[in-house]
Amino acid sequence: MAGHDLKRRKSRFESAAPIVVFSIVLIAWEFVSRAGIVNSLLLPAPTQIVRAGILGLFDADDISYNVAAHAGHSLMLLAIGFPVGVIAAILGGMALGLSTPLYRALNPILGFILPIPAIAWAPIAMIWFGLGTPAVLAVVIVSCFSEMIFNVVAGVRSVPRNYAWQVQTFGASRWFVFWRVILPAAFPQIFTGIKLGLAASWRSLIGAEMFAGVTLGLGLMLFEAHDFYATDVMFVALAIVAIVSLAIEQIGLRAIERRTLERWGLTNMVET
Amino acid sequence: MTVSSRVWLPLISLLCLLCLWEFGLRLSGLDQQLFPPPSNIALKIVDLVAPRSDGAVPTLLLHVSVSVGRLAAAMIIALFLGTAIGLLMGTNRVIYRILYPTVNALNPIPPFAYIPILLLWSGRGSISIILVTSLSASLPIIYNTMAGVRGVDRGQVRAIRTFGAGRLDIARYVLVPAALTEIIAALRLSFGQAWRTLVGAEFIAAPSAGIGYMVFNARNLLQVDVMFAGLVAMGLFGFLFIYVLVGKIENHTLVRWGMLKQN
Repeated sequence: MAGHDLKRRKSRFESAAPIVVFSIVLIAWEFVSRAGIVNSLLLPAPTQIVRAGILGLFDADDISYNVAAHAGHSLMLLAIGFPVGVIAAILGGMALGLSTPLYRALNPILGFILPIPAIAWAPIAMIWFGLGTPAVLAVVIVSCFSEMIFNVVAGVRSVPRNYAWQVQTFGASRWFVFWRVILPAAFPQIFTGIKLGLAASWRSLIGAEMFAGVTLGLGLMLFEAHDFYATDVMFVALAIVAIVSLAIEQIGLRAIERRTLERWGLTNMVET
Repeated sequence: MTVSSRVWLPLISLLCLLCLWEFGLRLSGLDQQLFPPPSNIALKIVDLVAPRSDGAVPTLLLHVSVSVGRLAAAMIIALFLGTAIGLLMGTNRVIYRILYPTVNALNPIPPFAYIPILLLWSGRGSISIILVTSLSASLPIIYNTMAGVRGVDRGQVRAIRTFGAGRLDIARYVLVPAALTEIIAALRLSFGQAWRTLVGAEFIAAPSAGIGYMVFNARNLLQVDVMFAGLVAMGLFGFLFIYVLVGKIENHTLVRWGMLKQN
């Protein structure tokens, strides 16, 4: 009995440990910053950061501190660029996946172009398409496309040819085969690509906003706060970036997954 | 599909694309300074890697070597840190409970977001760039090390313990080898992320050298051909690291151990 009791106490300790440790870290952080052991300009106290966050959310006078405006602009760019990248990657990947000569011709070239980090196109996009929003959008689209395309190609190429032959025997058009057979059958892998593409889009969006000359955006907010030594604002921006990143992953992708994979009964295939 | 067509088809299509780009641009009358045709870019690359008359290191080689040095430093840090944290998380339940949510929360955050804070703490330069790069490279290693350790069959641990093995022996002979295969499997992702983060970090935080610095500096001077030369170098070295180097490592380890098919 004693052993059983000990085990229970141990597991209770284990489940409480994270909360205890995180609280100790926060309190220590607060103390170190408030007591001046570390310059609070370099490491603002958590309460100071929360205060800056609340002020920023509700005080719209100074636009450079307005968290909501910056986050909204970033999300808007993501909402435009990401779907364009997804569609481009699906179309391109379908073409490469369905046509073997095209695949053989372009695969080595893509293998060379895709390792170029998408954000590296930003300086060129800034010259070609203009500073700010156009350049950032171009980077988001490129990063989503290059992250996704091989998943689409692999998905399409993994669809057994006789799936298509079967429906074609019954007189199905090419359009039907493409739309109702190949796309759904390849979708689990395409979905993996969409996940990766969304993460990549968001990553390069934040990076590009830091230097591409936008007037609004979380990346800009982070970077400007650094320029003005507004460290508390910088930490607020970082926290917002973290929260939005988590939300995109948890809420955004779950929604797509429910609408597609789960409705089509394909979830098990994704996990394997 | 014969071997020759495997080689010729990509070459021919590459040639066609380059011709299209070259003549399309020349016929369109666009400004060749802003939209350089491939021949100009090729000449620029030759210019940037050719030995210089004053004996200095050719520009492109200098910047690439600085970047590769930073990448190597970041990968070494990431390997040590990632393996250590992953081993701790895989073996200790309390540490797992504390660090797993932390790592999960850090994972989706774009690494670039840390750059302003690092700039504040360690200034513009290699230290900030290496730190952010190693952070982004270590996450896949942490995940895989942890998974490798947690996937170890309890029976193996019990068996070696029966023969009198201590904790260190268990780590040395069971856990690390088990994690090693997973760590090697993480290298591809890790190198890819590191390379991306490095270039982005160099745009923002490099004071004087690095391939990212070269491209960004060329932007300020509107030298689009230099920028393309930088991009070609990034593609080449990204390909070398992510496919050739990691592929070699995989062939020497995972493939030899029969855990992965030759690629």
